[in-house]
Order: sequence, then structure tokens, then C-alpha cells
Amino acid sequence: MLLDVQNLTITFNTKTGPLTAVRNLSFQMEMGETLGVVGESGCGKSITNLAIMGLLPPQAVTSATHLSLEGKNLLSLNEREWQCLRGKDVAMIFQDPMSALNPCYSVGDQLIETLLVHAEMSRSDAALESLNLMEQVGIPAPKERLKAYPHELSGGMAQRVMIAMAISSNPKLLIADEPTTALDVTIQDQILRLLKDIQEKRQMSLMLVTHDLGVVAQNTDRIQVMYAGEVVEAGLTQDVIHHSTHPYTFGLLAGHPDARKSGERNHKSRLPSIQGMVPNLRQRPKGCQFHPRCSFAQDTCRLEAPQLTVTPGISRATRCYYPLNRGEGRTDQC
Amino acid sequence: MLKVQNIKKHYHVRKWPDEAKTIRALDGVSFHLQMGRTLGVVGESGCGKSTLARTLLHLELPTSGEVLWENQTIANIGEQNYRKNIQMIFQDPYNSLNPRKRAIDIVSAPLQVNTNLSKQEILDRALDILLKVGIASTEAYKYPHMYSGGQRQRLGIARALILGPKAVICDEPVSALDVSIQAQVLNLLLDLQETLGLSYIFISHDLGVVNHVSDDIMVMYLGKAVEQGPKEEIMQAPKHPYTRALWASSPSLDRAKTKDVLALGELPSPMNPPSGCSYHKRCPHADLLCKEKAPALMPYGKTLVACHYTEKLN
Repeated sequence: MLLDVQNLTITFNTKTGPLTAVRNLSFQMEMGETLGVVGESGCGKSITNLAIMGLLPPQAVTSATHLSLEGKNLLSLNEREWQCLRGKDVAMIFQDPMSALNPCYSVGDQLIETLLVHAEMSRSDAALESLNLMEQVGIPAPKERLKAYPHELSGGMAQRVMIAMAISSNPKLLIADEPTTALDVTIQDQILRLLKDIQEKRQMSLMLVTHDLGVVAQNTDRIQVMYAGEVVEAGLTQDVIHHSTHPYTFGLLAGHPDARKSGERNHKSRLPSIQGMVPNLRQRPKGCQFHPRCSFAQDTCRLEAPQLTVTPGISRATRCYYPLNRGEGRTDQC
Repeated sequence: MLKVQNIKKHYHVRKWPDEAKTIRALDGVSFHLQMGRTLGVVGESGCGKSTLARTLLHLELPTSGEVLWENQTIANIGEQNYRKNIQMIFQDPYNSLNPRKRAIDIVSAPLQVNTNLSKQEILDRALDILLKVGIASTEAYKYPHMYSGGQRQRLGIARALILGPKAVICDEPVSALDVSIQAQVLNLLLDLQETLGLSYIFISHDLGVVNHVSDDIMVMYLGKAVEQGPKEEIMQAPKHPYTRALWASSPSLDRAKTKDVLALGELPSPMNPPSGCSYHKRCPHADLLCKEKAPALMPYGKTLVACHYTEKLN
């Protein structure tokens, strides 16, 4: 097992009281697998990533019964040990490549710096290696591009540079936080293919964080749906997409205006939508976090929070008292 | 209702030490928008979608070509009268609302400028339109930051509709919203279209969304339409290689990924467009003819396609 997270809770101490961004989050990742993390803004996706990278701000209080990467306990690391791990064992790609790169240094300088921090090599070796990395991520005319500054690159090229930097020290886990949200569809397609390709070549695990269900459906092995800092449903991607059991996942999928579904749906018919909005994390609802928006909610849901129940036999978990029938599939009657 | 004939918008930029250059942001776009129908405009960033929106609103004057409203030029109708008929909904509900004004003031501002109604009438109308977009009158006196993203976009919609326009330009109206809120706003737009008989020009890069709301679709590439026609035709059997590439690369829930990359490289700079067909550098079918001669938009079946090899490829 590569990554093991057990009961991770992240609380921020704010002026107006504590705010729990992530509650009792548990998940595992195996070597070489792709995990998709889906959820709306504010559901705790990015905060979880920052916790795994050890990048949370000081006012965040992290607690977990277990948090380890390749057996190494992450909870007891000091800043120095984090620095050795960050970028070497876990690397991250961010949403906006333009603001993630330093505008004052050339792309080559930034790549070489990354290489020199984690490996003992001469500057000229690092320069050769950076050229090699630029080729691997499919940048045309890599030699000239090494001298370019970030503003001279297009969004797609800048994201390729980010990927080159992330894979420079052969990380075991690559966290891609909305890597293609800022890009056009044809470029998005190219970047996702590149990530897949690199992952296969290097036997790397990939955590793909996104709000785009289509991207997750096409590019991941497993999927984990988050809502208000909790996992509400997890399982094999195709299984979750086609037989969702949690009302939230079900509603998201039913309300997805998918290009391919046009034939089945009437022209301009209304999309089945989830009513209301994400709860304020300072005033969490009692019981199930989703119950104020759920059309299937009963009294039990309003009183007590459901646990993430794992269905035996299949790798499937749902946080719901009344999961939808697995046989029922995806219909438009939410 | 709205007729656009061969509209062009060129910008002249001069960046030292380069020579002055012309950016052909819009290079000959024509279409008809009929009453109660929706035209979806699809394309990547930099293809001229937003310039098209601004030119239609007369925020930018076209370099050449004509925008006709009910067969009259805008100069004939007068800009102010024209804008009563056509309004816009913006992409980012966070930046398009004045943070110092309350919702009710934002929504009633167009009436104060354009009509001679009494204060009470303006208030009534504003509350009425807010109710139509799903904001109760008790909620109407808040400032923009107190609303959620979805509610702000509803405010933007209310502001666009208060003058009773016949056509609304929606420039990426849902792309800044969360997935579960997108469906709510799309449903609202469809409901309003039905009750008020609106026409939409719906600009988006999300094919799923465009497909859901449109009657006709126009696919743009570097300031030109490469394919336009009825939605069913374009969605089910895309003819232009660029349209196909867009369709294949847009992520889907039900379909596995295609094996081949259909669009090579990236969108060229509009400062420096390639010769001939502007798509030839990314097109897997391109040859010498494509490099030399730009194809015209020709009818093929029920659609218009700008490609030399439409027949060969289909």
C-alpha cells in the first residue's frame, strides 16, 4: 500500500470559532493506481491534498489515527523531513500553471533547481536531465523553450512544464489538483493523455482531483466522492458512475448535461437538479450532511450522521442510511 | 429577428519593436437568430466568442459587416433602443456585480436609466423579476457578497431581463458555478425562455451544456465559423475535422476515450494565423491545398462546413 489515511480530521481555528474542513476521512491508495476525487468547491478536496503534502498553514489542526506514505508515518515529520519528502516522494500539479511558476526565472532555471534540491548532481547534468524531461512531456523545441519565461508559454505548455517538474525526481504519488480546469478541451485531452502515459511508464500512483465527472469517468480506476469534508461514496469508477447509490452522487450524475445523452433526453428538457446549496461548514446541519438537499431524507437522516458503510465483497462504500438500489441504475427521476 | 451578415472585427496592435499587426478576432461570421430559439457558440479560448458577444451588443463597433435587428441597422434604431432588446449575462458572477450596491439597486438600475417609471413601479418590477429568477423579496436587500455563486448568477440574469429584452447573450453563464448549481441555473434559463419567449446566444466551451440548451450550433475557430447548422446534425454527425476533434476530446460519462489524438498541437496565435485553412496545422487530414487556400463555408447536407475535403471525409 502506498498511501494510507485513517480518520483524518482537519480543523481551522478561526476568529469566529473552529471550522472543520475535513472530517474522519479514510482512504488508501495502491501503487500504480489512479484515484479520482470529485466534489464541489469547499468540500475539502484541496485541503486533504495539502495535508498529504504537509503544506497546511499553522492555524490548521490536523489529527488522524494513521497517515502514512509507503509505511512512513507522516504525522511525526518535522519541517526538514517534510522537505526531503515533498517533491521527491509526493509531487503536486496545480490548477493554474501560470501562477504556479515563478515569473522571474526561466523555465530551465526552475527545472534545474528542482533537480538539484533532490538529487546530488552537477549543474550541467541537471541541465541535460531537464532537457530530457522537457522532451518526455512533449514540448516541441525543448532546447529553446528551456530559456523561455513562463509568460512566453501557452497554458498547455506551462502545464507540461509543471508536469516535468513534478516528475523530475520520480515521485511515487502524483497529486493533480484540477490539472486541466484552466485549459481548453483539446489541450485538456492532450494533458490527460500525457499524465496517463507517464504514469504507466513510471508506475506512479495518480490522484486526480477534479469537479468534472466526465474527466473522472474516463481517466480513473477508482473514485471517491466528497461532500462537506466527508467521503459520501467510493468505489470502482465505472461502478459508481453507472450504479451510484448515494443520493448526492446520483443527483450530480443525473444533472450532468452530457453531450452523448442527447438522444435519450427530450430536447431542452429540465435537468434533474439538486436543490439548495452546500452547507456552511461553520453551521453544519445535524445528522447526515446532505439531508437538507436530499429528496429521500427521513427522520433518521436528520438526527444522526450515517457512517461510511462498506459493502462486503465489492470495494464499495456509501455514507447513507437508505442507499439507492444498485440495480436501479441511473435514471432521470431524482 | 437578429441577423448578422459577414461581421468582421479587426484590432490593430503595435507592440514595440514589432511592426503594427492586425488581429482578426472576428473574420466574417454570419448567422440568423430567430424568435425563441437558441444559438450555441462553441470554440476554444481565443476563437472570437467573446468578441462576437461584445460586437453584437455594440460595445465594439464591427470593422465591416452588419448587425440587423428586425431588418433594421442599429444606426437606424438607435443604440439605446437596440440595447433594450438585447442584453447580456456574464460569465463571472463575482466580478460582474457592483459590491457596493444592494441586489435590488443592481436590478433596478436599468429601469432608472431607460424608463420614466415612478420609484414604486421600479421597485415592484424589480421585485417581480427577482421572484421570477428565484430570489424572494425578503432576500432582495442584501449586498452581492452575501449571496452564493448560484444566487449571484440569478441576479445577473434578473438584471439582464428587467428591460424585457427579446434576445439575451449568455457568455459562459454556468462555467464559474459548481456542478450541482449548474443544473439549477440551466433549468432557470430554459424556464425563462419558455415563459418569456426569449432567444439566446449561448456561448460556452462545454459541449454538454451547449448541446442541452441549443437549437442551432456554430463552431468557431480563429474568428471564423468552421461549421454551423441545426444541433442534431452537428452533434450526431460532426463534419469538420475540428468539430470532430472537439467532440472526441470533450470528457464524457458514458463513452470510453478514443485511441487517437484528433487535434494536434495548440491553437495558433490570432496575431499570426497560418496560411490557407486556419486549422491545417492541427488537422490530421491536411495537405497542400489546405495550406494554400482557405476553404469557404459551403452547404453540406443541412449544415454549413468550411473544409476542402468535406465530401471525402464523410
